[in-house]
Amino acid sequence: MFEALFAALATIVSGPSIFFLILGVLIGLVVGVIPGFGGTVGLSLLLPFVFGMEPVSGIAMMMGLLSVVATSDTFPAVLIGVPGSVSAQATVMDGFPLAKKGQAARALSAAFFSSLFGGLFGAVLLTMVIQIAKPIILAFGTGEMLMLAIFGISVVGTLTGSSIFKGLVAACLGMIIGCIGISPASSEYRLDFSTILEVQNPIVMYLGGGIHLMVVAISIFAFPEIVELLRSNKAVSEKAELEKSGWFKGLRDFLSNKFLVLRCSFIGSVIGLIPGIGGSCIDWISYSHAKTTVKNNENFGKGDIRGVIGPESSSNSKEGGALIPTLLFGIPGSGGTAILMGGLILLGVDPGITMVDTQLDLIYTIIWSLAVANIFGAIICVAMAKPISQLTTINFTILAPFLISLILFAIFNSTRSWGDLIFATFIGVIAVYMKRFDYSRVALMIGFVLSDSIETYLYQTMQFYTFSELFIRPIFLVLILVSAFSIYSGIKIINKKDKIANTKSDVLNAKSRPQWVFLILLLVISVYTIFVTDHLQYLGKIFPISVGLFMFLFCIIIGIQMFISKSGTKVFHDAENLLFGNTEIRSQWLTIFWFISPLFLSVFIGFYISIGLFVFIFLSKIARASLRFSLISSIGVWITLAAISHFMIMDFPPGILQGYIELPWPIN
Amino acid sequence: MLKKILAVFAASLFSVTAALAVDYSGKTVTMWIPFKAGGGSDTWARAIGPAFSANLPGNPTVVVKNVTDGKAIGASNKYFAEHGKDKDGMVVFGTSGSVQMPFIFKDERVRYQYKNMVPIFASGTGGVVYVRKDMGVTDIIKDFDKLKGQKLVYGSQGKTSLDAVPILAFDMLGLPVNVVYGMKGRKAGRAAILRGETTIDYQTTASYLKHVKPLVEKGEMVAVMTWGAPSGGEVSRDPNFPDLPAFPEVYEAVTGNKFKGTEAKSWTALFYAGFATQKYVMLPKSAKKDVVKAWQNAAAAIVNDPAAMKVLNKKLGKYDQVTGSKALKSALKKATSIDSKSEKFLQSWKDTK
Repeated sequence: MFEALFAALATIVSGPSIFFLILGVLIGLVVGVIPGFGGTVGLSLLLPFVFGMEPVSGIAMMMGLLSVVATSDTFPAVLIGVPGSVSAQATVMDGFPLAKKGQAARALSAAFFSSLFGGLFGAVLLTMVIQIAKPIILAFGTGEMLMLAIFGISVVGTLTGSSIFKGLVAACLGMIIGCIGISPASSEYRLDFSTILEVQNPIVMYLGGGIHLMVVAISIFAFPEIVELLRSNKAVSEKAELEKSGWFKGLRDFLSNKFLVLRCSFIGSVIGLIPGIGGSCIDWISYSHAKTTVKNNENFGKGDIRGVIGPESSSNSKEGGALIPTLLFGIPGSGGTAILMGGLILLGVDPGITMVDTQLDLIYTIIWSLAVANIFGAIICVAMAKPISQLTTINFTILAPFLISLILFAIFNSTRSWGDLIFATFIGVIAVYMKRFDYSRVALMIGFVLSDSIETYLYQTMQFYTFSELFIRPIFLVLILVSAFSIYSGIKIINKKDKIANTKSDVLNAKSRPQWVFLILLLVISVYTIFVTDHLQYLGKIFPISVGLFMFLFCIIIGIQMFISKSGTKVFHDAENLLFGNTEIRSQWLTIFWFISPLFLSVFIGFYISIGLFVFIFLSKIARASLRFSLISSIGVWITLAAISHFMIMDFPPGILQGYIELPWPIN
Repeated sequence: MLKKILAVFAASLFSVTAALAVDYSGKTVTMWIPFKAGGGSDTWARAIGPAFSANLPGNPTVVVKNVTDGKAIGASNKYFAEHGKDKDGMVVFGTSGSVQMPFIFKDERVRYQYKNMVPIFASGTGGVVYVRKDMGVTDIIKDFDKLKGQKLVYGSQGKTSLDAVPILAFDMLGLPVNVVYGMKGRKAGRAAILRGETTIDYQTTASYLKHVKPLVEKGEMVAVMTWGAPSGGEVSRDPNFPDLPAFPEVYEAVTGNKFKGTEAKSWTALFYAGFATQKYVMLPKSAKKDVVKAWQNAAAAIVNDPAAMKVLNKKLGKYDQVTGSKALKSALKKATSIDSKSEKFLQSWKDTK
């Protein structure tokens, strides 16, 4: 075994493979940095080039890319509060507040070291268990997956804001958004407005396809942050001078939290190992784990470095775990590994049960590529952490048009449809108010991510097992205990928050009307869900109706709390108050309007022209930049978009103009 | 004067024919795939793309464009809306069973019409049904009553997906199979039978050979039948698995009826759409004759291209790649048109539990 292991290392580092590996790493770093592109998109970009390559080089290139996406996606998460890919969702929670404190370089380098360790941990685990993992994976049946999903939901308690009911309403809303599209058990279309609109209406067609994860993730986190930064017209970092020695500080943070890193890496690989639960909730689970197991966790969410270290260790270790079922059974454990499998087939390597016996050398090649790529990726990222974090000292109004273009592009790229942009705007506006009134956005995200798993596995578990069968399955029982413990620690944290919230009232608003309007909107959504799913088959409607009823109930409870409380109690939390007394503040709706104005423009002249124009107008009129700078910037954006359009083979949404006149690429 | 006119006439004639001759040199031809990157249809398209590039006049660059806006149905509708009247064959359409099935089941969202399409190239596959060893079955026909008495559970993606083929087959055989929905693809179905949660499953040929055959050899699973393969208008034994009976054969042996009538016709239509000729490269009917010809010639050349065929065979199993106008037209017709009786039957069958 060891001979084969080191022979594989020799093949990787000698000859042309190492160049392909580095090429893969570089592409992976870029793909990770651009929000909306993850490993899945990046790898599919490589597929046409992989076809016809020599297998070891092809594997090295694909693994190079896949291994570093979860490393570099931390850049946008920390610097601008936008997750670079799905595996950086939780990093935003504490990474972005750290950037605001002027500690972006520290947060980034701590993240990269954790990420490196996580990646190597995954590789070691993969080496050790690949030959014995079969019974472990098969021990996780649908019952266990259901409990894992429920465990995922139970961490909502530990992550939610000061009001548990607001958190629960948000989780329900997330699950309702997750219900949009085809129901898993009855294959019916749900919540797609087909009850009021004609079925071939574009809105119905769009919603029928379901909502893409990145659309929700970007709009729910990035939209409110950017609106807020724009309103205050400042740089991300509240300090003009960034803290010195961020690099070493990050390394020290990493070293002093080594056991947290180890635990979270373990969580990441183990959950990654189980196909079916999906990598998207791993971050939240390890974030919650970090928060509940460390001492003095009051600063979580406000810039605690451990809130970065935890999820970053697990987000990279999951790839090693996810490779195990991919290579053993040909059943990928994540979106990235699914495409990797397609690529391996193109190379003539077909993963499956026989691979461990017949092609162990190739498995070791994959493992080494994973490890070596992680090292390269981390070195490059650490070296870039400091210079790039200077971005946080630039006035945000100058950065905003580029970011807005980037985000709109990333959202559009999810399914390349107009619907993505419109839906994201809708969710984004809701998210602005959720942030303001302290409805947990994390809860919405977790509800959304797990909605489908809970519904599917609940239904399947009921079909596959009887109660007595379930309760003799040891892993199932252990997971029940873990979930119970998670709920218990959630309650403990909320009680603690209660005390703090009652002692300080700086964010409590005297004006309660906006709160009532928002609550009524949520109430309407729950009632709508119940009514429009009522005509479906039993299996299609039971889940959305139950969620709708719970959401209705929680809304009523909040309403009662608001009704009996005097203004100034925590149920009236309104972050708007923090901004009072700040005279330079811009109006909320004005900034939202800026955000969506390129979309309005696109309706007429198409997305491509409108984005460049928007950058130009915004920079010269609102940011008051020089004409030359504005012009160069907008042309730069146009060239970048054209390059992406060329390499990604994508068209931008056309407007009315394009319907009348034939225009040359890339405007058409 | 006359000479001059003739010369002009000849010149113009020449230029017209020159314009007519299809030449893609320096151009980029797009394959419109209504599925996401990395999936089965995408890999298939990326495997044949370079082969088309090598065999089309002028050797254009062939790129695959994954359109996922509105899932398979929406993306297919979009192709017809945007390119349904194209003449130049610059954007071709790649379909698969998941595009054909909603068409057969008359999904209200479908706006595409197969009769407006010209097939260029088609790839087929087959499927193998297998059960867990503990069912105690070795021969489905001899042990049929034994199988019937077992707890049969099948994990499915949904009744109007490709799974219509197995579910209708189980119904026709009278097997009391408990169908559990919500599986994400055939891979999830395979995972469930490995865990022992389901007891009967099928996989497409390539996946069977790779992932299930080793288990059959180890004695964990037992292969019982195939869906068969088309030969001479009938569905007979799959040449990849000559020892396994095809479904129509099993049906006749077990029920004592001939494989005829509405149910059999409906099943055959589903089988053609989902397996026998599952993936098509198509041009809109509006395409110029020369364009169609150029593509058809290229398709015929691909079949002789061993590198491309190796990947295709690996992806889909060794089945005939259908080329040639006549064979394709009859295959497409079988895959996408059913008589009104079968249609009515399928509509009511779809709604029963």
